[in-house]
Amino acid sequence: MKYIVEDSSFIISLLDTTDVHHQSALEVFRIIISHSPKVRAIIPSTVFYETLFVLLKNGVSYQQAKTKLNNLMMIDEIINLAITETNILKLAKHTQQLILNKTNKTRVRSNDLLIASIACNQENSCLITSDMGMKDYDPVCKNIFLFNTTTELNSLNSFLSNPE
Amino acid sequence: MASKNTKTKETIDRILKKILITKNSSGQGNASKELYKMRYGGEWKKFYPAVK
Repeated sequence: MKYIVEDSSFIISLLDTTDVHHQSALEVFRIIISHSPKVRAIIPSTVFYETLFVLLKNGVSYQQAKTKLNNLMMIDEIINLAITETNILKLAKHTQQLILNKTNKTRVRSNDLLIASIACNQENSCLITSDMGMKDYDPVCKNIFLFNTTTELNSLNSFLSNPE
Repeated sequence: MASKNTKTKETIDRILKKILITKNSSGQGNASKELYKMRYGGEWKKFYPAVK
């Protein structure tokens, strides 16, 4: 089984059909579903909240955001990862390594660290995002793919196709 | 094999219909821009990725 940890940037671009990166996100989503049942997507609860927050702030109605996100979380291939205190403590060993080895040490966001830590902790996993800032964690978290670039989309395909 | 692929496409299209926020109900549109503004504040344009 392969796991794809999804950043908010991916989910937002996927859900919003007017987003400039929607087509790229859609392409990746089709890849994920087409690899079922060998691939699962992980959405941490912090990503879920960030996505909801951005949609509401961008003018999407509460009812619409609630309905669409609920439908997303009900998809068989999606795993909703609840972030509990125990989880955070278990992930801390990866978080420490990510901080120590980050390429750009001046810009650190706790949510990015948490998502990267989840990707590090989960075997056979990768992280998809459009945020170049997340790539600062690649000295430790090797499989970070920018879904909006053709080269990295090919890398994601190779990752999913390679035997475990 | 062909029918399996068709079924997969139909399944994906059915899922997408349930999750996509269409133009008529999407608020201001281009929501990822809002995410980058939130993450990077005044410097968001430096980090906002170009379309491939």
